[in-house]
Amino acid sequence: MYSMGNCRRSTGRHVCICILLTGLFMPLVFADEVDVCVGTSSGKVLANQKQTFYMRVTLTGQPAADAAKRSPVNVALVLDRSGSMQGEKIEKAKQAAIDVIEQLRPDDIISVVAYDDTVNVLLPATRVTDHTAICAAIQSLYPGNATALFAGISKGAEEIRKFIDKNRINRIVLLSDGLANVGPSSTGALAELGTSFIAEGISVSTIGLGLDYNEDLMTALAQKSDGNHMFAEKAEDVGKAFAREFGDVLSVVAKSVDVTVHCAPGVRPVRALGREAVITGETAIAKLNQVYGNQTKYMLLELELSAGVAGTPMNVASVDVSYAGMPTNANRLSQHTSTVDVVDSPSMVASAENADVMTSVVHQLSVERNELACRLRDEGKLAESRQAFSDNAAYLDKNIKKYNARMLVPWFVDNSLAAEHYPTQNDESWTRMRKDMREQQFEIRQQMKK
Amino acid sequence: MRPRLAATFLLIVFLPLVILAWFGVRLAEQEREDMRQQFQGLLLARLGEVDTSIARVMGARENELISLLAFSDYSPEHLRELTSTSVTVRQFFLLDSKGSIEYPSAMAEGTQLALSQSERAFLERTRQLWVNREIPTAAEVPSAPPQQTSPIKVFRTSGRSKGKPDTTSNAVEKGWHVWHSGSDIDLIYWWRTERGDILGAELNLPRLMADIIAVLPGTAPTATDSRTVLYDSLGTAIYQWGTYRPGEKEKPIAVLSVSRPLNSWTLASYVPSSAIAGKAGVGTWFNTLSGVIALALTIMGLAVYFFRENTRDIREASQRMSFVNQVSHELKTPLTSIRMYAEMLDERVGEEDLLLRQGLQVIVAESQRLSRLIGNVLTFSRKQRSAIKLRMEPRNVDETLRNVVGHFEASLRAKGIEIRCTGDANHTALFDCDILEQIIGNLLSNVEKYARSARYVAVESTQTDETVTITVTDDGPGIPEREHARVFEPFYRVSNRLTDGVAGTGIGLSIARDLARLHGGDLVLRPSVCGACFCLTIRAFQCPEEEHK
Repeated sequence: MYSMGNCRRSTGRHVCICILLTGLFMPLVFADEVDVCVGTSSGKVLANQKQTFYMRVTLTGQPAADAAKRSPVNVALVLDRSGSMQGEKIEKAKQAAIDVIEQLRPDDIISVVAYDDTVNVLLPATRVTDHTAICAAIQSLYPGNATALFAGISKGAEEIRKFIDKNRINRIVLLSDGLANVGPSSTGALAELGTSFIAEGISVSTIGLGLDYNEDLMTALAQKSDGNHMFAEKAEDVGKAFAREFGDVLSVVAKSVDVTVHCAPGVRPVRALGREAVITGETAIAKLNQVYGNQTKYMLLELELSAGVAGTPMNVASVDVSYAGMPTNANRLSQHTSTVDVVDSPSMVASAENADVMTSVVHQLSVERNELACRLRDEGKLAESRQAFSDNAAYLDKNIKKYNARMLVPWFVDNSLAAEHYPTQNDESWTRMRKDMREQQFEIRQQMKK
Repeated sequence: MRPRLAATFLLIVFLPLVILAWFGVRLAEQEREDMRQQFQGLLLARLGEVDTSIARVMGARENELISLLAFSDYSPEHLRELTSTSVTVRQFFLLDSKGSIEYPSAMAEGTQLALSQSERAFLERTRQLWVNREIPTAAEVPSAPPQQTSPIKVFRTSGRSKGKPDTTSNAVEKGWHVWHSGSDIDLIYWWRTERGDILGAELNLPRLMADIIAVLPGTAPTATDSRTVLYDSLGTAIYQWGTYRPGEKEKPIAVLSVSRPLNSWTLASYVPSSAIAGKAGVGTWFNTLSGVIALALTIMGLAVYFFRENTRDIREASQRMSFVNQVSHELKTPLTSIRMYAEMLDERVGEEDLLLRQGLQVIVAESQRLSRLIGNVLTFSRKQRSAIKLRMEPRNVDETLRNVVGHFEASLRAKGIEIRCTGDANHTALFDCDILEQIIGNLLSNVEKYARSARYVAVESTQTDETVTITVTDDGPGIPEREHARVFEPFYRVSNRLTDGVAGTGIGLSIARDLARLHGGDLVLRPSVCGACFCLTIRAFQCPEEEHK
């Protein structure tokens, strides 16, 4: 005969099992779109002295469980149709644009803006329902005159704003082969525009075609708005660049990513390496517009640790990563803390070095050296420039061996070749090399997927 | 006469043409200017519309900033957050009631409020503003009720020079502030909080430009053939639209300053000059040109007509002259034959047949007279054509005279006039004897015709080394004093009852004098008490005696 108490007990057990199962499955159902990992240059530091220390916050986008599910996009193609684009370039650009549009779905939004010394909105923002009409609009592109890049971007942004949405990936893709010479054309102006775009949630990716575009301007715009930058040397490369860009756009898993690092007392953030961060007092904030699935981005901070006491672990910082997971647009927050042990012996410190983090540190520092080498060349100091490339190669070589950093090898090769085949005349080779270097610097700073 | 006539002709024709053409050009210019003005008016109106849309963007920006007033949290942390999330603002800032900057403030360095790089850059950029106190504070502005139903906006533009705050204006609660910091302009919007602090926002200028560009028209390939350009304060183009590409030095048709606070920016419209001139311009040109051509043709036609009319008389006269000439030439040949045979017969006829002799003498005399007449006419026409040539030969003057006198003797005697010939020019000289004969012949013929009442005519000759002088005097009625000059005119005949009814051409004296002058001398009419006294002088160089004919 069951008493009332017996019934309650079996119900209670069922409930517990349900809760357990739910708890087990919860992570699977609600897996975070971004995997956050905080690492430091070393697990141990020496006692009683101030030292430089590095902290890296890694964000890895998790591919969506349902591959078909992705956020709808809102893309503006801003295409340069200035006179220099005449011929093969403009044909390949049109073809590349048409190819990527094939990948879009009816709930995606596309607009096409063409500019030379004036701007013409070829296709106002519209849903990708009628592929033929869209392709026809792109085909009507014809070459023109001088280049109003700023105006082209402005009109592109206007088209984006018509359908701008938190649920969409809002992107301007700019293709240009020339200098901006109508309207605001300074790197500063474009950079500031980029800053304002990222606050709106719009990223600008820039594709530079040929050897005549201004790479400083294009990279600044892309960097400030957290877009991509690609160097397409020949017309054939445009297709690949577009494909790569759209590959990213269609694989966004998180938007509006804010990485806030609150340093503990005694720890001072000095500067950010690679990706930019705003440092005020003891706080460093880096903002990313998006994180792509299967790609890893990081924020790298140089810190100054005050003298610690041996045996007492030191709090380094607490890290908050907030973002909106896509396509659900769910707000997420990931919190981490970082501490470090304070020891007496240097050998213990050396053995506790985090090779992975140090690789990133070396990578970013070598980018800074590479940028210096380019700057020396711009100032006309050819010998020093060449030496700088060579020194950078040596620096990389040393650290590749130290940390067994295989991933640095291609970059090392680039720098060695630059030193070896250094163009001593101001000719096409340097123009190409500079654009190539800019692209590499950008890719490393922004951790673009190769 | 010819050149002067031609000059007059040209003047008559071209002067009105020139005047008309000038007026036509002025008219066309005036019309073009009018069209231009009209165009300019239209373009300015359009630019005004563009300016309105720009002003709308500024208004929207202002409203967006004012809506932030809803927050009462002016703490640095909050302002910092506003700055980092703002799309349109570069940096927010806070001034205390005394006008010194509270956020971002360098004095907070080392504390929680340590500045970021962009904040430091902001302070650097705006240092002049704080030093010069260019944004008014509560202390300087006269007090006014805190609520203002209609906000008074003060737009103040200051250059690099120190600007004094406007203390005479009404209470200013908010406004734009523009200043030039190196390149183009920088824009700040400020407003006063309830506490009396001033909150401000430095605009992200490229963003503002982009937002303005977003509302301005794009350029479709079929757009109007014109161009409008938005220029910044340095004169560089920010944005342009329209398919027309103006030349390097081309000036805009219409220019408009953008409304405040962007009044250092300008809008300019370019239009191809062909569009302004348009069809109307071409029409006016066509009209003017055709009018000028028509008038030119008319005037030329009239001028030609009058010219022909004028010269008609001359032409008729010359026609007549040439007719007479032709006739005289025709008459000369048969007359020569008649004279020749008559003279021949006269020599052969003896004294016996008186009637025959007299008859022949009459025939000879009359045919001589006819010869003279024809000779005169021909001479006259040749004179007109300036075709007389002197034939100088060594002759005896007196002999020639006697020859001529001989021709007239008979007829003069028949009229009761005696010829007395006293010659003192016996030396051989070089002269044209035909001409001398013609002159004397004319004079004697005149005596025969007009001095019938005379009893004698005296022909006297004298000679020097170079000249020969011959006088022909009669005691007929003479020529009145007042007619002395006129008798030498061709076709002129003194008209009185004595000469009426006498046939004559009136060219005799004219020819005689012209021939005399041609021969280096002259024929004059000497005043005389009774009768007429003609004095002929010709140049005739005496020859040495051996050349005596």
